[in-house]
Parts: sequence; C-alpha cells; structure tokens
Amino acid sequence: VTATSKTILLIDDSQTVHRMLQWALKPAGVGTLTASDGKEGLEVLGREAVDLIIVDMNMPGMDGVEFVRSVRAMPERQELPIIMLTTERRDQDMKLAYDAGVDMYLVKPSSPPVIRYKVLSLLGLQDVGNEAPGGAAP
Amino acid sequence: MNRESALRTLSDGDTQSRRVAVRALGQWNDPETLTAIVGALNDHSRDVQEAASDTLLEVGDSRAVQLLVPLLRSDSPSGRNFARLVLERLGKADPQLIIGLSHDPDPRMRIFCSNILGGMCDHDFAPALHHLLKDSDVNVRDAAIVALGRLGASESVPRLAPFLATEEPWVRFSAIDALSKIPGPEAGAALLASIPTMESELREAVVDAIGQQGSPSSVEPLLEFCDRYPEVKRAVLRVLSGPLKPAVLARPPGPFTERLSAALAAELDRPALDDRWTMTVLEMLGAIGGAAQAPAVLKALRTGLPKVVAAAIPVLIRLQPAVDRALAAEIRESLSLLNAGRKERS
Repeated sequence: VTATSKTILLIDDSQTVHRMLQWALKPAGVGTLTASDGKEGLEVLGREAVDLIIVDMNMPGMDGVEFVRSVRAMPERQELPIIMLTTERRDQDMKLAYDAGVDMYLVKPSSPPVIRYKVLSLLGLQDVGNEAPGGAAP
Repeated sequence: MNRESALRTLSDGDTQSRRVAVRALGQWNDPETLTAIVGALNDHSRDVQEAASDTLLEVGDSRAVQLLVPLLRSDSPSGRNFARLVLERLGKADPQLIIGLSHDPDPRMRIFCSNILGGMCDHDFAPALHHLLKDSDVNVRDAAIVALGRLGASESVPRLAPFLATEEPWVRFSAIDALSKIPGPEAGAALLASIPTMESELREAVVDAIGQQGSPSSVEPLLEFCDRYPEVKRAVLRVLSGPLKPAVLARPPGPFTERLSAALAAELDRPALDDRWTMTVLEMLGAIGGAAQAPAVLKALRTGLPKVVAAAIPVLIRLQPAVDRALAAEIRESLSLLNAGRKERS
C-alpha cells in the first residue's frame, strides 16, 4: 500500500483551507478531493473512493458534526478515518466531535508536518510510535 | 395559517410543519415573530434552519441583526453557522454591531467577526479587519487575512505583505492566497517580492498566486525567477502560458519573448513529458512565435505522439517562413512524411 493510492476528502467552506491542505499533503503523495460543506461532502463520498476525511466543524449548510454523524450512520463507513480540523478549541466542541465519531480532533493552525504525520498515521502508512513532528496536537 | 397558529406550530409541530410555519411567519414583522424566526436557526432539523435562514434573508433588518449576534455563541455548530451566514448578508443593516465583535474577549467571536466582515464584500470594512491583523490569537489573525482577501481592497496590501514572512506557515499561506485575490499591481509586486525569502516548498504556491492575481506587470519579473529558482521554472512557465497568457501576448516581440520561447523550447527536451504539458508548451510557442525554437518543435513532431503531433503541426507551419532554408526544407519533409503516413494508414 502506498500513499499515492490513497485519496483524502477535504471538507471546508474556505477554498484557502482546501489549497493549504493540498499544499500540506502534497509531499505525502496522497490524492485529494474537495467539498465546501457536509452535504457536498456526502455527495462526493457517494461517488468516489475515499480513504480519509479532513472536515471543518463550522460550515454553513451541513456542519462538520452533522456530517460525521451521517457518515457514521452508514454501516460501510464505520471505520473510515475522520479528522476534524477546526478553530474551535473548547472542550465541549471537542466532545461533540468525538461523540459524533471523529478519530482525531486537530485545532488550527496545525503545522503542515503535523497534518501530514496525522494523516499518514491514520492511513497506516507511518510508524505511529514515532513522535509527531512540530509538537503534538490535542 | 395565522400568526398565532404559525408560532405554535413552530414550537411544537413536526419538521415539515415547522418548516412551513417559519416560512409563513415572514409576513409578520413584530418583535415576537422575528425572535421566533431567529430562534428557529437553532432548530435541530436542518430543513427548518434553512427555512428560517431563507425567511430572514427576505425580511431581516437591523432588529434581526441584534437578535442574530448572540446566536453566534450557540453551542450548536449549525446554529452559529446559520447565524454567521445570515449576518454576512444582513450585517450592513447594523455594521457597528458586527464591528463591535472585533473587541469581544472571546476569540471565537472575533473569528466570526472576520468571517462576517469578509462576507459583507464592502471595502469600508477593511479598517476593522486591519485592526484584527494585530490580534493576539493566531486564528483571528488568519481569519482577518482571509477576509481581507475576500474584500479585495488594494489598501490592505501593505498590511498583508508582512504576513508573507510570518513564522506560522498556515498564516503565510493564507496571506499568499489573500493577496492573489486583490487586483492591481501592488498585490502582484508584494507576492513577487516575497519569492527570494520564501521557503522553497512554498515558492510554487506564490507563483500560482501571482498567476491568479493576474497583474500584467508581474510577467517580466516572473520569467527572471526561472533561472534563479529552477524548482519553480515549470510553475512559472505554466502561469505565463495560462492565466498570464493575455499579458504575455500583449507584449511586443523582443528579448522577453525570445527568453520565454527558449525556456519553453527547453521544456520539450525534458524526458517523460506528459502530453498535456507538451501541448500547452507548443501552443504557447505558436502564439509568441520564436523561429529559433523551430528545431525543438520539429523534435516534438517526430515523437509521433498523436496529440503532440496535432499541436506541433500548426506551430511549424507558422514558424516555417521565418526559419532558414535548410530548416524550412526539413520541416516540409517531416510534414510530407507525416501526411504520406496518414494516407497510407487510411
């Protein structure tokens, strides 16, 4: 299994964040798809093979938490790795996200090496025993 | 449905009934009704939230803005985001209330303030965002940068340019992206000036941003970076052959076009070129002329790759009159051979 065979779905209402994440993930060699809210994310998920999702919490339309709940309601998507990447740093928001079913909660701004490391770890392409670069995210 | 019945349904009806009720309530304009409509943005059904949002966009005014601002503190992500979305459209009805959020002790509110001011698409709000560029919270600064990009005000360029050298890569990237959205030569110049000190892996993003920014004055300095920073050569040529192509073609033939055509022709010598890039290079060479590059185009023709051949033929036909006799004969011969081969196959 190689990173080039993996596809990451990026869901955020900011195209700047899409581009930032695409740039951050480029050295990892993974492919990316983008969506601007949870509803569009579900549409992409319905027609494309996706190996991991990075989703924002605050989005108009379907927000990140509702999106994650919808994904986890699909029996075939129970194990699909999901990272929530958000500016929300309150414990209650983190709990909301974990209760919905995310695998990891990262607070912006996470450095590009940290994002790459977390993505590759969740994809099983990196030794998770190594210390995360640039400091551990919450 | 009368007002009382609609208010009652909105509080205890099923989803479909609540959706219909919140739409119907748009016809009344009293404070109680408006409060109920705003409250429906926190409904647990997204259909009802969307219906409330649609109603507010139709009938909302400064009173709605006052009711919506507290909703930004909602514990429900969807509730606060619907409030943000509606405020982006209605905020002009009471801009001071939105600007006042830039002094809120909660950084989340200052982020929402940036989001909303950016979505209000009015340069008058740039000063409030400039203030947020000095915020102690990195995410507030980042949100203000993104918002200033959305506003596209050229007076923000001197305030954004220092963020191209900030230590935080996320913020640096946002500054690159924001400047790419601001028209005028100042933003292009700021991006160009950042290239020498920018970390090498971000230089390509800067080059792309310069292309997207589209300032004709960026064209010549950009080509100079080809030689200084080989890692961005392909990106520079891609941008000059893409978004900045009209600015390139507007320039008279001369040293600049000669240098560009030489750089493009050198691309044809690279091993394992993909068809699409080769075609782009050939089309650009055809557009800017450059007879000196005819041998490189002829070499591309001889690859025999159908798409590359199709792109090379018109370029060679165009360059043929400007090349020396020997080369012109070589081109004619290659084209004849190609033609004969095609006839034979058919």
